[in-house]
Amino acid sequence: MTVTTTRLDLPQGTLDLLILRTLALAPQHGWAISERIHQISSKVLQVQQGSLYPALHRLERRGWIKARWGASENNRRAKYYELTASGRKQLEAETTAWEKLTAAVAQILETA
Amino acid sequence: MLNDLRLRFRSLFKKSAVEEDLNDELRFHFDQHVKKLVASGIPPAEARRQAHLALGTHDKIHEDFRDASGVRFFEALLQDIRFALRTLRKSSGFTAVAVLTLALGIGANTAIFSVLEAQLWKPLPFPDSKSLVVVLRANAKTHGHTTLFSAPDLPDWLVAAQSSFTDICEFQGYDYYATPGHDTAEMVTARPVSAAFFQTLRMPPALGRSFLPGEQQEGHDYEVILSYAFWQKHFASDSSAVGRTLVLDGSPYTIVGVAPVGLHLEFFGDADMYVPLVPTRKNSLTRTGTGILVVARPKPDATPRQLQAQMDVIAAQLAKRYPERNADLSLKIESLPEAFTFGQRGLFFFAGAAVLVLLIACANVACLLLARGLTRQHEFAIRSTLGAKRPVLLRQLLVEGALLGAVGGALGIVAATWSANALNALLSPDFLSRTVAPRLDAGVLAFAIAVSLAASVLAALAPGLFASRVNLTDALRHNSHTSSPAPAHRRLRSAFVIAEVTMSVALLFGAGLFLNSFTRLMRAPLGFDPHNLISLGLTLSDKRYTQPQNLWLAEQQILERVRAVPGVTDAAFASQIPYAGGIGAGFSIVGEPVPPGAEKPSAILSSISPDYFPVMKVRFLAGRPFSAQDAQNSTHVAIVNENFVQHYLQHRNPIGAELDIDHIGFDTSYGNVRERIVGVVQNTQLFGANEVPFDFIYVPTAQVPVTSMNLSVFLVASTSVPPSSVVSSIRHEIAQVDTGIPVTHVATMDERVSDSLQGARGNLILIGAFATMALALVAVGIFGAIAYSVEQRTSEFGIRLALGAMPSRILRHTLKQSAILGASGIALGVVVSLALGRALGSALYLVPQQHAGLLYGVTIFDPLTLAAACALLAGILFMASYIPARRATKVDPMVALRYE
Repeated sequence: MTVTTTRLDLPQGTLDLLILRTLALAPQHGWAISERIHQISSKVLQVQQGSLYPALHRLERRGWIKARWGASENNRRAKYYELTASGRKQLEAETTAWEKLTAAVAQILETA
Repeated sequence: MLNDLRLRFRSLFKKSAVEEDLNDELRFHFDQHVKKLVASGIPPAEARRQAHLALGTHDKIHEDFRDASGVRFFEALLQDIRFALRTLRKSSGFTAVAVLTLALGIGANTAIFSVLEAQLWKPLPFPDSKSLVVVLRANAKTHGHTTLFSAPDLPDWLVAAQSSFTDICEFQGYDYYATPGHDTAEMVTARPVSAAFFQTLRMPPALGRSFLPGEQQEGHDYEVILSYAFWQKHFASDSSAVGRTLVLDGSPYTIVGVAPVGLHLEFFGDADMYVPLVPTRKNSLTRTGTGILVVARPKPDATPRQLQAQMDVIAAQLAKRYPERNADLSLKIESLPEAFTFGQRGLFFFAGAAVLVLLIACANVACLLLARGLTRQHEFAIRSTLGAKRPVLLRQLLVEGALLGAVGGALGIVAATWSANALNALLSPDFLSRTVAPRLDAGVLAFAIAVSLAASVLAALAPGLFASRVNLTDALRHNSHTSSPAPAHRRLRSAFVIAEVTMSVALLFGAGLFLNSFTRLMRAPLGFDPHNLISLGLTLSDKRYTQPQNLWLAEQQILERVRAVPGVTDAAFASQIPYAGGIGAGFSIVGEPVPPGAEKPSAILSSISPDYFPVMKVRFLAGRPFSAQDAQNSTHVAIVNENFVQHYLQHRNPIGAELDIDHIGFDTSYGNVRERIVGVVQNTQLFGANEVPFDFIYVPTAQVPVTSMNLSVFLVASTSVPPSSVVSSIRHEIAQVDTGIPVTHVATMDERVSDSLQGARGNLILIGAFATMALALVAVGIFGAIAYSVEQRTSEFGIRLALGAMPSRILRHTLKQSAILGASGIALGVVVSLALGRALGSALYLVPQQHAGLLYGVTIFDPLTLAAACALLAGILFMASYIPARRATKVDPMVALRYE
């Protein structure tokens, strides 16, 4: 795996989708969320903490995720985020919408 | 949603805790990052440096985080409020004046509103009272004039109306009954009510039972239900009272129940007890039949329209069946609080005056804010160059206004709680239809808050719009002390001051009219001399007094004994005395038949003992007083008053004219008696000087049949000592004749005269208070305006003085400015007052045959009063502007120039 310096800017709204998807597996703290997105995207996507924490707060206000304090792997106090029921629904809806969008865009790019 | 609010709230008010959380989270993030770098082989110090570079500063995150919290607007508002509090606290003089001004206006309006609500809008204190209606009879020909039911109408109507209502009850005004007291008899009041009364009002008796339908029949009606208050007071809340016996007018009544604690009819006063209503009862000698009030609860699904349609059908049926009595009958349904509410006109008049005070207060505060806005132009200019936008500055000023309004409103509410009851006591009884104290409930509170909000916006909007429009270059070039106000700015201030003066003229003129009218009322001729006269009400309810000779004998014995009391010079009986009301009697003048279709004339009838006129010192205009010779079997005689002669006997010599009196009030048992007029006396009043004089007929008690009129009489005694001092001796002498005669309504005639002026006095005090507030406010307003403009021009005056200007010239110049404002305001005020007077017109005057007018003996165009009001206002304005204007002449040129 080569280290790439290319960093992609996330389109508006995609960060929310990525966070929700990341949390769908298990509750995570902020750092783990950014690391996981970084790894799974093959280090293409790097979420800045300046966007991550406001986004987490925004999702919490909308009631899609819940936050609570817990202990981290090395026993430090860390804030864990988990998906709520409505968050799960939102994730499904956004995923479907995203798939439709990307399929449509891909089709245009291939055929046009 | 709830979650969202909770988090916003937390971000707003637990800011430090939220920031702490975020810091913890970011620190954790940072440490994890460093750990990862160290694990990949980078030395710790270098790892920390790289982490710092990669993650950036925390400040931006905090900002973005707060934006994501959705509290920006509130935060800015909180900041504005904090800033406003700081600036308001710094200029405490301004704040105090503005807050007090608003408190005055808001307090006055809140107090008036609480009375209005209690009198006009509050539902009666019964469950579901809003659905109760009153059924009234009306004559289809004379639209609008409604009457109560009388006994013969009732049975058929009740049968016909059963299908329209779930409950129907009837009741009457209360009657007086004598009941044995400790030494002598006491008077109690009892209201005749039908069996369904308690059920219809949904107020079942607290103890015992309601009346039974069978008890509404003559001879079966000796049951009584006590009011809760009477039971508490006279039976010490003893539940064994039910079943006991109470003697009323000599007959034993069984106590069958106790009414519930909250049963107040409010419109009719509270009776001590309830007795069965017997519709078939003939008017007995001791009871005048009064109208019967019908209150009913319509079926829940009936609309008012359907109900009225059903009543129309019933009215048509009754008209067909009893054409002689019900020919033009129509039935009207009215809702309960509205049906008996009167006096709105008077209440709204004073509410209007209170609104004027509030508007003056708003104009005043607007002036103050405007002046401050100008001195703060420098501040605003700097803030706008630093990037503050106009809405931000406007919001800042509105927040200041709202804060002033909030504090002023809170103070106003406190003032209203103190003054609402005093206000209620001051208001003329003519305006208060319900006996209920004003209360500061949720409705009143909501009103006060709405008024405070409206007042603060009203006061802050104009200055806010103006001051936020800053001309940067101008404002920054000059400093705030030397810049002279822009012309538009000055015009706005002048407009406010002129508006204040205008409204003050209206209030002052109004107060002047009331003062003028009150002094006229005080000086109004009474027709008798009230000094050294005591009056006592006696009720001779025992059956033996229905025999004329027994009544005559008892009255003679009482008069003899009372005349012998030390300090008493003379005594007399009369069925009617001034300021105590009276009964009307229908009559006709012999030889002058009433034209067909015309209403039969009526006059107040009073049966008196021969000495009544000398005791009261009523002057004779013609003829002679009654004497002992005017006895049962001699020629029947009468005396009439001046007003009677003017109305009916203008064209002829009244002495010797003859009258036929055929009924008294509802009582037709008087019989057709012919009386010859032997004398004419001065007019005296029935209720008070503020009335259209009534026609009076006096007859000697010895010559008239015994009716309810002369079984309830007044004893008047003239004294050579203070009249109150002989009351107990007189009571003692009455008890010597009969311990069964209750004595009530004891008052000196001076007290009665004074009480009759109570309403007018209250009106005067109220309008006077409002006018005083207006004067104080307008004085503060003009003082502020002049003081401010002098301060603005301090350096100009300094230069002028240094160049040799005469101080008197500067004084004149400054005063001229206030004179222009004052004169324009007063001129406008005169126009507005006259227009207002014209618009109110008849509302301000007494209505013939009633006594509910506000003004007496003055016209709404009274030029002297208007001139006096203007002069007073001009004087106050001069004083208020002279003090600051003089300061302009005392400017030290050196100090003034150093300002630069």
